[in-house]
Amino acid sequence: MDNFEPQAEPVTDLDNFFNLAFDGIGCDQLKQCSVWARIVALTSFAGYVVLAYDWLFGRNKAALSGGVGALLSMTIIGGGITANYFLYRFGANIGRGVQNLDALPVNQGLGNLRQYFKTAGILMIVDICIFLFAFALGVLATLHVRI
Amino acid sequence: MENNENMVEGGAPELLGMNLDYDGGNTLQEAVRWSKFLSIASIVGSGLLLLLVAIAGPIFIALYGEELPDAAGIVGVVVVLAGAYLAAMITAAIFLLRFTSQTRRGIESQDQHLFNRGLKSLKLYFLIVGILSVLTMGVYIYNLFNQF
Repeated sequence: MDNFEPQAEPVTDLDNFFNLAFDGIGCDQLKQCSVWARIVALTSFAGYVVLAYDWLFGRNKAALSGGVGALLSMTIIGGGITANYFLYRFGANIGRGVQNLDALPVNQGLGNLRQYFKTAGILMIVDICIFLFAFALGVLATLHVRI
Repeated sequence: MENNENMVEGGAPELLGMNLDYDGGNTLQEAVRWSKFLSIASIVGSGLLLLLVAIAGPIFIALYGEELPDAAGIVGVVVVLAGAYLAAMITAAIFLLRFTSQTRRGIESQDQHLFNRGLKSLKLYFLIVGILSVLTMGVYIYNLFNQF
C-alpha cells in the first residue's frame, strides 16, 4: 500500500484559471494599465472630436467632398469612438476592482478589454478593405485614362 | 512553519477575492486572440508605412529642396518625425504581441510569473499608445488653430 501512487487527475481549463491570481505585482501592473488606458481613451476622444469638427466645419470640409475619403473618415471616427468607449470602461472597471480587491469589476474590465480589441480589430479589417478598394479604384482609373 | 496556503504556484502571494476565475480567464483568452490579430496587423501595416517613408522621404526632401530651398529642412524634420512615430507604433505593437504570447502561455502553463510579465507588456503597450495619442491630439489641435 505504501507504494501506491494515486493517479493525477487531468488538469482542466477550469483548474488552470483557479491557479492564477492577480497578486501584488499583477495588481500593480493592472492599476497602471487602467491609468494609461483611461489616458489613451480620453485623449483619443478629444482627438476624434477635433477631427470630426475639422472634418465637418474645417477649411477643407472633407465631409462635403464625399467619396472614399469621407467614408474612411466616418469609419475611423465612429469606430474609434466606440473602441475607446470600451477602453475607458476597461480602465474604470479595472481601477475600481483593484482598489476594492473585487473580482467582479476586474472580470467586467477584462470583458471590456476583449470588446476593445475586437472593435479595433474589426475596424482595422474594414479600413484595410476601404484602402484596398480605393487602391483598386485608383489603378482602374489610371488604366482607363491610358486606354 | 511556512504557511503556503495563500501562495500560488509561482510563489507570489495570492490576494483574497482576486483569483482569475473561469469567466475572467475565458474572457482574457478571447481578448488575447483578438490582440494577436491586432498586433500582427499593426506591425505589418506600420512596417509598410515606415518602409514607404524611408523610400519616399528622401525623394520628397530632394523635390522640395529644388523648388523651395528653405522648406527642405522643415520637410526633413517632418519626415524624421513621421518615421519616429511609426517606429514607436511598431514598438507598441511588439509589446502587444508579447502580452498576447506571455498571457496565453501563462494561462496554459499556470505560470504566475509569465502571466505577470504579460500584464507588464500590456502596461507598456498602453504607455506608448498613451504618449502617442497625446502627441496626436496636440497635432490635431495645432492644425485646427492654424486654420483660423
